[in-house]
Amino acid sequence: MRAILQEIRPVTDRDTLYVFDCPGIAAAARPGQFVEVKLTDTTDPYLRRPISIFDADGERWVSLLVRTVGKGTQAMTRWEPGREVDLLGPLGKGFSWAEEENNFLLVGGGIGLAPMGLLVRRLRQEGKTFRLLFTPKREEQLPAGLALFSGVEIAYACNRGEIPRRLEEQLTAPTDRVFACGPEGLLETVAATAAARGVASQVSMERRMGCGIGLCVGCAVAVRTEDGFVYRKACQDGPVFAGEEVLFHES
Amino acid sequence: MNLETRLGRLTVRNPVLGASGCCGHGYELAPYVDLRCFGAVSLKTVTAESRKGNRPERVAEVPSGILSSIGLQNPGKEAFFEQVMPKVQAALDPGQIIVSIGGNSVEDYVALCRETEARFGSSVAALEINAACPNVTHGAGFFSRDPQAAYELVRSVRQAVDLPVLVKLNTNFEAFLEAGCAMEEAGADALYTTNTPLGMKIDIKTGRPALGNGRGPICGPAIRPIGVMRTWDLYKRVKIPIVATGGIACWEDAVEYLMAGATAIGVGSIQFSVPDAAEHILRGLEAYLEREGVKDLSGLVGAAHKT
Repeated sequence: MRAILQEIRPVTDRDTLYVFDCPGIAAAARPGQFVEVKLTDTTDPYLRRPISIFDADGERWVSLLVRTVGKGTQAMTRWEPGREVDLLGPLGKGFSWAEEENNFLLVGGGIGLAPMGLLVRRLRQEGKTFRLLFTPKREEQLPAGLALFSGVEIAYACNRGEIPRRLEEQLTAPTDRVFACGPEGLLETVAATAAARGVASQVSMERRMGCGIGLCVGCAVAVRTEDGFVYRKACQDGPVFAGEEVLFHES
Repeated sequence: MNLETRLGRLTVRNPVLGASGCCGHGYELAPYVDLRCFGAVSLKTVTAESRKGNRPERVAEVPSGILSSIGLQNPGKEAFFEQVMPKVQAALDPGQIIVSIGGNSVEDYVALCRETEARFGSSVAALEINAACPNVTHGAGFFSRDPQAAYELVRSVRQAVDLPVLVKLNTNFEAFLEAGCAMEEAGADALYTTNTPLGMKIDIKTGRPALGNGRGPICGPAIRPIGVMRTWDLYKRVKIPIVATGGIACWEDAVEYLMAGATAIGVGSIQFSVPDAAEHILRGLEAYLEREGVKDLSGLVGAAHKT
């Protein structure tokens, strides 16, 4: 789908918000879904980049919060407004909740905030209560750079060892569901801690993807079954899975 | 323009085919491409028992290509017949559906080919025997590296079923030409080649191979010259049609493979980033033939050998 890059907004030294004019995706996007971004018109780099949808207004624009980490994301930093970009999406199964649920804990590990803008927007629209536990490795100021997060109650866990304790603290408050995105170790801790308290969780799993649309079966996530596990596709069965069903680090 | 192409007893509407493993089961592509533009689509290989597939990571990008090691993940024949095939049949015409069969032994292949034919008969176009497949006893690609085993496999399947039989030949073995000849002699309708050499990538951040399985075939334009050369070599040795794959990304690549000796081409991993690649390739090919005044596609097949 054709999208026009409208704005490039630096958020931290290595995190950038890319805003696209793309009504097709803006209207259809749900929290936790992603797009596949085509970086060039050539075959190098060969693959698109799967990138979380950060936010969308439901009508015209959609934004991506991108950490510059590799060849592909580096190339994006050289883009200029007005550029036409080929996006596929919105793709995958995102975060979901039931109408009667009211209290939510969001857990973001660093750039794990990338799929959470639209989540914040929708929860707010529905009048739900939510708070964020943020565990950055470096960029503590990331949420402060995102207008959407102003007014959100944020707790910080600034070193990895603190996370289980901070999670426990957060879960003493009423919580119907936990939504998490970040490094797999964090997601595993969230899933286990929530499950131990009988709280449902959803985790957004990151995998290298070939296509993002279910052709290649490259993005395997191990999901528990009665007699072991099966591999499901992060691109179509996820990227958001129930915390209880994922067999973490099955690799 | 009539692009009808004959692959032994199988006739397809045009020579642009979807390669197994890169098209899902066809219907996954439906939101992105007009599926009618495919001459046929080879579905993801099915085996009698379900296969879990390889451990992640399963894909890694390389220059102009991708390493992959999926490990033939599939739900097994029952779920394939009951759950997958109805969706395939809703998306593709019978004449477009090629069922790709995998197995460990000749008996496995024969049994599954028989069962597929018994259940679907003429509502599928052909069977593709994945002789490039992992093999528990003899290692991956066994039937592509042992001409005698290749002969027995293909002959047994041909005797067991009436549907056209395409044979997926892995050209990455020294004896692939002999194996191809043996498959021809055994009655294969066409050879469907996979020209993807193995490769490896090390993630220098972790110091470990990027693929969970360590190594995997390289797909994409990176390996196209290898595929073209092997198509050339194979064309000199066999008379049956060759369906060639290996890094075809645009119509020019398709023409190159036809000139090297392919009768049809398989569109593969390019669809991961350009899901409507087959449509572009077909339209480009049609325009080229028109411009060049080529009336009969067969004049192009192997053309590079004649000059």
